[in-house]
Amino acid sequence: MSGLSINNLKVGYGRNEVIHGVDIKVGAGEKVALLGANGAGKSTVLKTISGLLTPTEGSITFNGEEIGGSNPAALVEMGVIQVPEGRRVFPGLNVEDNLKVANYGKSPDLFEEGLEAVYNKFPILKERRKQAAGLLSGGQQQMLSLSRAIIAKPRLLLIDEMSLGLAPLLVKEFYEQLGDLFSEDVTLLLVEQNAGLALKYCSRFYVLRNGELVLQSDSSDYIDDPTALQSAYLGVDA
Amino acid sequence: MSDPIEKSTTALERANIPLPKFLKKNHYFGFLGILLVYLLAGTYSEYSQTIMNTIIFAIIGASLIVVFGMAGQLTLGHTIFVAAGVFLSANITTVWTRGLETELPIAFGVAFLLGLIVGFPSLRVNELYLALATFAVAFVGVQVLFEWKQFSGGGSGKPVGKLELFGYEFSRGPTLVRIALVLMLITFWVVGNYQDGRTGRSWNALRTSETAARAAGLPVAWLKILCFGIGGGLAAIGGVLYAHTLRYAIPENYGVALSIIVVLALIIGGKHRLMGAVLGAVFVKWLPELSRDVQEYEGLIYGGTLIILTLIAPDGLVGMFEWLGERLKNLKSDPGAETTSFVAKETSPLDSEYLAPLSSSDPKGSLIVRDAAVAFGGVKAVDGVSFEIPAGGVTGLIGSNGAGKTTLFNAITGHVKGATGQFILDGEEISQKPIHNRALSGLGRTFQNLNLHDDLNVLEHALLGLDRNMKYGRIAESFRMPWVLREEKNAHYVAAELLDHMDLLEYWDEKVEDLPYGLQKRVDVVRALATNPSILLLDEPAAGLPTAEALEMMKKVQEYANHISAGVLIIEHNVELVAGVSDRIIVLDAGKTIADGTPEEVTRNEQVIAAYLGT
Amino acid sequence: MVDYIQIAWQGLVSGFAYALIGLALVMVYKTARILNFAAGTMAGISGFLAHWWAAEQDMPFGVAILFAMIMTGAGTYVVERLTVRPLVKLGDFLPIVIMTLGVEEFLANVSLLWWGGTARRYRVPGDIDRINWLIGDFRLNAWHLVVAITTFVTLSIVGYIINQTELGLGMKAFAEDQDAAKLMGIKESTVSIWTWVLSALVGGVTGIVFAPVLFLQQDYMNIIFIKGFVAAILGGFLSLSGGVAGGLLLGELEAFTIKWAPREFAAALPVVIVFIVLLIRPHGLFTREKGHERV
Repeated sequence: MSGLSINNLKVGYGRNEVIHGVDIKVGAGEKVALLGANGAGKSTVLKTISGLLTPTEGSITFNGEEIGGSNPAALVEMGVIQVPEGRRVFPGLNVEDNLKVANYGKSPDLFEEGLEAVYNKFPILKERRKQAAGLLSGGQQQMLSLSRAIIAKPRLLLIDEMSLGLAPLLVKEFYEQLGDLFSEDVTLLLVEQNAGLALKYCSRFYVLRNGELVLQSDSSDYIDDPTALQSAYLGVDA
Repeated sequence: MSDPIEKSTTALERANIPLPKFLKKNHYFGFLGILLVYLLAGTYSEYSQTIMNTIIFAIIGASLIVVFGMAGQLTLGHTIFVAAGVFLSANITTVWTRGLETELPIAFGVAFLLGLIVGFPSLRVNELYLALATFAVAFVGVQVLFEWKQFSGGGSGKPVGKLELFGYEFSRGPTLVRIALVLMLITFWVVGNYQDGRTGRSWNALRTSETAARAAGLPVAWLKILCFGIGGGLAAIGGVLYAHTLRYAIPENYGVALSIIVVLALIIGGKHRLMGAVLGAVFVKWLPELSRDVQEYEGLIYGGTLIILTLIAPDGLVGMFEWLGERLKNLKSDPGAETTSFVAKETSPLDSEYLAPLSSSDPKGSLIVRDAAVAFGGVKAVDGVSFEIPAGGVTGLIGSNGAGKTTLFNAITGHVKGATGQFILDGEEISQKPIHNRALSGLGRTFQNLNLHDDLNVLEHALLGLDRNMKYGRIAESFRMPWVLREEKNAHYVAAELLDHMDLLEYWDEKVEDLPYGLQKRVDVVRALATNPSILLLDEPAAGLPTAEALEMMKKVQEYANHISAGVLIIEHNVELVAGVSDRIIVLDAGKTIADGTPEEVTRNEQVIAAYLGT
Repeated sequence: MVDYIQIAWQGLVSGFAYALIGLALVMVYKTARILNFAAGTMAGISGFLAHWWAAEQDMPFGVAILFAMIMTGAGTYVVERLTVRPLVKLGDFLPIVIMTLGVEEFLANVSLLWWGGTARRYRVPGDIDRINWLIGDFRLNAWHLVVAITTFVTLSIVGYIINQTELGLGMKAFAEDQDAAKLMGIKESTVSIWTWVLSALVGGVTGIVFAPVLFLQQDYMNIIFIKGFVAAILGGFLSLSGGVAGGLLLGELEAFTIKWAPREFAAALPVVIVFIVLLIRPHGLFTREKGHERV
């Protein structure tokens, strides 16, 4: 099957299992959100898909190919790209070098092309291209982090908690831009705590609580009243 | 099945936890071994040189166990202590013409002080750095010695005087071996006493997690320096023996090469056990006796052995033997037989004679936080938070990811640098105190990401917490004085009851890294409870646990907190849980307080819902 | 005045050695958080190989150097793959340090068996090391000039690799944030091995050019290794240029201390410096303190 398919995924740190058997399907080109309060295990799931963590059980396939436990470099080559939580730009490298790293191991010609696209979308990055990324504001760092993903030409894009530590207005802007930044056929799995924003952008969503899926549904069912998700998130009836 | 258990039965007895004793099984074996060598030393005098070298290496190895094996400080400068012993011995015997009664105490004392100085960098740098810094000490030490001709005799060295004790002169040969054996016995006994006492426990704790050791109230800085002092002092005893064996002290013998060999020997033998020091010494000193070929390639063999052992058996030869022993035991015993039926308690452990005295009806743990602020770079993680918690209350602290909850905790306990604001615990200002002193003032805490001591078992975690209330001194501990044993025994009883209360008793002997997550969380809590805190700061105790298990644990924690009338401040995402246990909830968002009230008020607060779900 | 210049030049020449080794140490530490205790011995073997081939095996000097460098690179590659790589996965650096100690012990003894324990002094072709020019009262040794030029060239090459090549970019990215670098498709093992090899080659160059200045003994590079470490500490251990600057500074300090202080003190200088730096500026003289640590 094409797209991303996760079956009975279990992940742990040492002996401590954090994800207790999770099934997620994202069809080719589909945009899906993985929601939940923090500590629910969302980032762990993403890190396992992108190869930073190894599953203890279960399978992850992308376009029919088993990718669970592969190393991150091989996955990047396949087009599995993660935008990490907390932006994780290289603070000591300048903006352009940060983008160059995203092109690691690929042809410089492609890079020039991608660079132009990025600079068109975020002129401020062009303006500050020689500045150390650590000196950028949080919003600009998020632009840079997304831009690295643009350069990497993803087929499966994993975005981890874009809203973390950013002003709400800014986050909203990023979500509105997402469609422009990446081509329509990119498969997207988005981790987010902020349900309202994610639902507007994604067609379906899953809710994770304490390492287990507690809800999955179409965004349209909740989009008018995301607060209805509260009980799924928190495990408490409001 | 339903044997009535006497009411007086303590948790310790039910779990069969052995009490610390003056002499253990190991002591008898060790004593027998040493006696054997003692008797043989006269018979095979042609080997007395090799035996002597082995003993010296074993003593140096034991001293390294203190620094490296227990406290985890990789030192490559250990030979300067040996050199100190050697040259002090040479000077004392020739210049002062005094005997061992002067040499040993002075060598120990001087090396102890030297150790305190050499240990200083360990406070400022990580282990990697430290290894190199001590390597530099060894390298430079020998050069300084070389240049300091008055003391060392320069390149040609200095002769060592007669072997005397209180004016009686001894022949070297077998008698020296016997003297050495007695000294080895003493050294091993002392190091063994540390292993069983609070100092060794503290060293083991700081090796596996400094952060957590500080939070338990251990004076980590002093403990680190102290390990170098004691390790150095003991190594100098080996040095004195070296001087008398070689009869001539030459600076170049005590350089980096020796430093590396002693570390190598201990690692090959096994760095966590005294037996490892013996095995390492035997390996290094007897291998070259095998044949001339071996002698030629000895360094190559040591290096190669170390490389291979590091890959396949990081705990050295002792580790290998222990592993084999386990295997054999498992083969013999049939697997089902070992499950002992565990006797359930009849009365609450809180009413036991060990925990009952801790009961208090006088609420404590009032905490005032004024204008707490922490900035990372330009980002204000905590931005002017103020609140007051009354004594004995349970307060929840919630907020979305990155709201600054854990950072606020770290500011209160001192685990984050550059925090500003005032923290007042039971009327005492603690803002300026180092972490462990805040713990001693009554702050007990747990960690979000489980800062446990991997190599310690569950019981030892409880004992670590109890360290705060132990009184015996380190000198008394070195010689296992009666009151040391008394206090240790009492602590074992208290620890067992506490484990029983938290339903951990049957796992007392397990290393924490082997426990399932839920139980590890409890161990973290136990360590904090054992300090008998005024206020308990719990950082996401339920994260990753099923709600039922989390509730069960929280119930136990609350019971205990009520028992000692301590306050509780709890960070948690599981709102259901927080709302269930707290009298009051404070909500943080982006480093600021956005709500503060009863659980009902807070969960209905628009702003809170917005912060959690986004709109 | 000329006296001072002479001493300063002398200090600079020793400083070159410390700077290069400091650079080699910082490189590996920065990218992999590992200290290689065998670095000094490895550099020593490079020097031995080159000069032994040239002086005793009648190999042309240039070819001997080339072969020695190839051996150094290949040897390091094997050492890294066999000993360090299997331990990296464990995520604990102490076993790796111990491993490099084992490698140190092993290689030092290989060297001892091969060349024996007696000190040798190798000459260079054309006896360049005996040519001295007098510029006024200032005496300039021709080999010292060669040392200076070699250092300059080596630093330039390393600078080029780090700042202009993709490998260098990978090394920098890896040093800054390992996980993020992995997510960009940079292979940890590739960066690690090339960092090791590059570091060993820098060490090898140092070993070769300084052999005619020092007596060659099985452990002759260890003292330079220690001082290179002091240089790295002076520079804060995370800054390549800081390591180089620290090396030059240490060379000068040492040269002037030997001139005016008692010998005992001059011998203890490196350790004194380490202690003072750790006490006053643990993050080094030239770098600002890095942000925060979280629990």
